[in-house]
Amino acid sequence: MIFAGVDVGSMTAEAVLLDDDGIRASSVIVVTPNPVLSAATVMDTVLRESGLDYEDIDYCVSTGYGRERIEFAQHDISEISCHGKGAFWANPGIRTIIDVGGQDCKVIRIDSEGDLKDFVMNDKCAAGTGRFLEGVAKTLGLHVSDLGALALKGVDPVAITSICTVFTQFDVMTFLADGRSREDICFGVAEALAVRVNRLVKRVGVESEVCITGGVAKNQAVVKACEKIVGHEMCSLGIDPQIVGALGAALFARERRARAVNETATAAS
Amino acid sequence: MNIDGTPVAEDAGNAVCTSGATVGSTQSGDCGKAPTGAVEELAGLALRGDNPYIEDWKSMGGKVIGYTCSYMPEELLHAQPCKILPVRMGAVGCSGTEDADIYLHKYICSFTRCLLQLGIEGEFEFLDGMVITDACDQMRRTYEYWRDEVGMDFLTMLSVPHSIEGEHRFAWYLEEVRRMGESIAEKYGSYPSSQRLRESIAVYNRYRKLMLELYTLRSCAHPKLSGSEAMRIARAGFNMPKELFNEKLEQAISELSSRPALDDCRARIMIGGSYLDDTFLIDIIESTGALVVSDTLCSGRKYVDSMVDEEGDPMEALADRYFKHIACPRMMGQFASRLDFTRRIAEEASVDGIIFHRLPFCDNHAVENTMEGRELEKLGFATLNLESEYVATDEGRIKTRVQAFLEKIGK
Repeated sequence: MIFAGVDVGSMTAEAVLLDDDGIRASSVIVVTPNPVLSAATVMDTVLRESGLDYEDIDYCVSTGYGRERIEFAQHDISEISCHGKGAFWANPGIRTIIDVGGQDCKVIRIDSEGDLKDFVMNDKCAAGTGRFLEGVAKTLGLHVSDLGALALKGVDPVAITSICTVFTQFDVMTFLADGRSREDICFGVAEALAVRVNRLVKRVGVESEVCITGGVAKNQAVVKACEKIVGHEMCSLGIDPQIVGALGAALFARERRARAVNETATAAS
Repeated sequence: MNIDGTPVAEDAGNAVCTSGATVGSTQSGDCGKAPTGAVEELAGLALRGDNPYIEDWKSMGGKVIGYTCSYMPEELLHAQPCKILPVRMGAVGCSGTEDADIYLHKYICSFTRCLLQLGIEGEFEFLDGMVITDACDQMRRTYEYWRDEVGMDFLTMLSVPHSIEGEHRFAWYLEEVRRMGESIAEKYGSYPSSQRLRESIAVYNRYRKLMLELYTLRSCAHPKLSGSEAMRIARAGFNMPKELFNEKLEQAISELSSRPALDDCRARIMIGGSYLDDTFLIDIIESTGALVVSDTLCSGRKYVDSMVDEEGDPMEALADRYFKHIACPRMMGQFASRLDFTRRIAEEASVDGIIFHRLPFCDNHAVENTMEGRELEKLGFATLNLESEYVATDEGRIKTRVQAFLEKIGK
């Protein structure tokens, strides 16, 4: 049986296919402005790569932006529940998930069953999200994926006090003008992001084990800064942190399919 | 129908209401065919200057005075021999605040800015005057711009003490109410007798009792109407002569009672917050299959709670009710009573969860919602705290939180 999950984010979209042995395939693309199109594109990609077709999918759950408009999905579930579900599957010891996406930052608490216990999301502000890093990368003339490695080489992090992403870019310009190194700036930016993330963590509370998901989890300097500032080890999930939402959606697809089969069986008997 | 039987209200009552507003579909979609009659008329009533009742009122020579706060005793306007229609001002339909933002900083709440924007655009030209209170600093800050930029013909400020404790504070508020009456007398040469005031109090008490009946139709085991419909009906009540609204509402209640119930909803939700007359939040909640069965909004359940004592001195009784009704969070020392109220309403409506809403920079509700939420969680209620602008363009952001909240409570 094949179960599919698709997660359309603000910057990337992911699809995961599950079979009886676990994750069969996954794919990540950069989104187009149309979430429905992005969902179709990433699902096309993952199906093509695994030699499957839409007819082979037994159940599909969508999550993320525009999740209720994805026609090939039978159901939609919020990305908050999906991240909890995906992280718990990858590591059943996880109780707190810090998801830092392109536009959202959320802290999700789950119970010993992997069910959603509580959550908190950033307000309408890019501080502490991937957009924040993108803005900084642009100001430094770098690609966002370069920031982590540079930051790890930093020695004396710059102090970023502004809460606003746009103002932070001004600050970065000032630091450059003052002759501060890009390494120290990236180091400071990683710490600033961790400080913003920590505000949400402290608001909803934290329970071990803790992990980071979302694209920003690929920035090792941010992960390290979060460990320091949140005061908890960030556990590895052993999978690409960016696909956790789509994985959760696929796991929900499997559950919902099983429930539907049970209900049909009960009704028949 | 009107208190002194002048043709004003009767003509308005006979007016054919042909409002252009469309009646939004009920979210659940399973309440049978669309209602016709009073429910449909009230839920689809046009607002402000396009409102046929306001048009009729004005064409009969009546005056219309807008107000912005639940601490403004409407009966004192209603009882004026010069015929004043009090209208609670809302800003539904505002699409941006570019002009208001010239005068009011972005740190002023967006409801306040939206109101001023509509004022600048001429949307409140039908108003003869306006009463502003200093109940919140945000609204207080707009007074000068309504005077200087919009140019209200009659504008007055009602000051509300920050605590109800001690006799002097009540005396202060009572004096403020009397002073408002005097400024109307000065402007329009009109002052109501105690008898007229008593009659107005009776009309408004009936209004509040009927609204509470409407709430019962939502909070009962088999709700008869969606939260979105209820909010639109309540909004009509802000924009109509109360005698006429009472008749229509009574009719609506009877129509709703015989309607099939909206059973099988995904979850029963209550919302809490300040002034909310735009259905966007309820629409988002109800689009997930949940039903908003009650609220503790200052424009909702709180607004119609507590009757005015019909015995004794009417002015004092009026001031007593408006000063001591379920308090706005700006009132100090009243947290326990507000929490009790929220808890009681939540229990009465057997809610599965409570969603608190606040406008950015509304410090009163930011603190209140957090504190009430924390206490209610301890009592076993599931709560969600949301923030959005008055004109919310970020439906997806809000829906994600609402959906996750429903998933969290296992719905």
